[in-house]
Amino acid sequence: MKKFNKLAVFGFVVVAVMASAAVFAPFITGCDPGAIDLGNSLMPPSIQHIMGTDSLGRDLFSRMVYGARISLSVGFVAVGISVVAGIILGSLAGYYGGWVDSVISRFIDIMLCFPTFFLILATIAVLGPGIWNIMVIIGLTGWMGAARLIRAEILSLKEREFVEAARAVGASDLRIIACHLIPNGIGPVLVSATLGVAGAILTESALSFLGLGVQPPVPSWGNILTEAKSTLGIAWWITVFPGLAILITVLGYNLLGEGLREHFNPHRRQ
Amino acid sequence: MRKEPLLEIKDLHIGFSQAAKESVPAVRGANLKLYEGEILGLVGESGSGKSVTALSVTRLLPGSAKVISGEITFDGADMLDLPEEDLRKVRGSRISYVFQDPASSLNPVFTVGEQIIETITLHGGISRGEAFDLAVGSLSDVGMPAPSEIMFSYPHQLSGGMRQRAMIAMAISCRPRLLIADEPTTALDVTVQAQILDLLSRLKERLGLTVLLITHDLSIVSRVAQKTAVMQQGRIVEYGDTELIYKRPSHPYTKGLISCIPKMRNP
Repeated sequence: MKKFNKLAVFGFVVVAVMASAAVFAPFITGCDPGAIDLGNSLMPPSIQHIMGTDSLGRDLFSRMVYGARISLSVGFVAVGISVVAGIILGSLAGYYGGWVDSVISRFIDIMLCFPTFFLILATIAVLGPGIWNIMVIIGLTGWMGAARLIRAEILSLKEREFVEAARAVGASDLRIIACHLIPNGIGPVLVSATLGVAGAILTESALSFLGLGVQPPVPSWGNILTEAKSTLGIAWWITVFPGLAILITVLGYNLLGEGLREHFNPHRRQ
Repeated sequence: MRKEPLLEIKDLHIGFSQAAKESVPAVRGANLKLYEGEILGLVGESGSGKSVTALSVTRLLPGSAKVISGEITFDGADMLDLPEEDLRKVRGSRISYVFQDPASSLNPVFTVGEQIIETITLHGGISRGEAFDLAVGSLSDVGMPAPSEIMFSYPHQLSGGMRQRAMIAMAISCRPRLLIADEPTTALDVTVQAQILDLLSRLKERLGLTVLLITHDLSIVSRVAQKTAVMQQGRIVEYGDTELIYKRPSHPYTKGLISCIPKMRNP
């Protein structure tokens, strides 16, 4: 049995718990997240409602659990898209250099010049809000960081002798990139991807806040927070729980990312 | 010994081009013949064009270098005319390389075993299981102690000499006809150097390997090579049997090189 970093295990557990809560939402909570009960609005946490109720008397815990589905999948899918796109473009730019690099790097610069959030807003205004649109758009506007990181890694890695050695045993360019360079350079990308998950969850919250994200009554952590702002003074629990959920999830992803980075660094492996 | 050389280089010219400047010649009309079952020592100082000549055999030259003219024939095939696809099949399986610095020639994130297995499976449809056995076999060919444990080691866990053995194991894993060793002992200390050189001679005997040994150290050549070629400023200035060259060097540069060897004992 290999020894794992304790914090990384903690991160993995957090992410796993959140993910399983999202997957098994109907089994965890008996309440319907959309059931309105105006007689019980703004109830503080109690035995019936362990996280209290919101201004429409809906059970906050079940809204949180169902909201995890949306928030986690937005974070995961969006970052997945941006990491894959970033790695492909960044490694091509880094490996081939020359005009390929110029074209891709300028494209990265152009994308970075856009105020991303407004680009997302404009695209959603055209395509219409919807969870898949949001995932794809957040993903396609967030790949530049990963691309730059992997490009920089590959620029330095490709001068190493093992690349020459791989070519000397008959490996093709594609094989060298995919099997030799990317595994060596993926560490920083994974770490930044875990931060990206956090960013994507927050972007989704912001979009929900502006009414362009996940549409109520479907709950997401972002739109629960949005609704909470009007009752912030009298019902602390509606802001605290989704806020904590986002914080803990983001932390979990970060620790997991740190652990993965170590896993990809053989010098720390035994 | 066969009449036809296994590798023949004729009037090879290679130039390096720097952006918008004229190309700088690195090799200027090199001629070389390498017969099957021989070790040929290619000697010369830094920048004399030995490595570039060696890399050009399978067209592994860096982007800025270009073969300007000449002929390279390996086993009857014109290497400069071969399509890239066929060339990849030759690399690693029929001609393989061992480079100078074993610390950086191995990919740090994979185990030694994975890298040898990759080389084997790249050439010819062999299952991973068979490739694993072959890899263990070539590790024991190079005299590695406990080869099946080394298979699961990462490069940083091995010493310099063991890494170079691992590189040689990888190079011979497909039973190549020609092994090009580019300064294989330069990064190693003297005792390990001797072991690696002995290993090369033994492999030559046992596997019928032909070796092109590139070095700047004439004493290494005198130890293992049957033939010697001396390279200076992109030209082969002297070529022949090692013993003869050692006894009666004809070119002043060779004489100079020989007089540079510190005399601890008579050669």
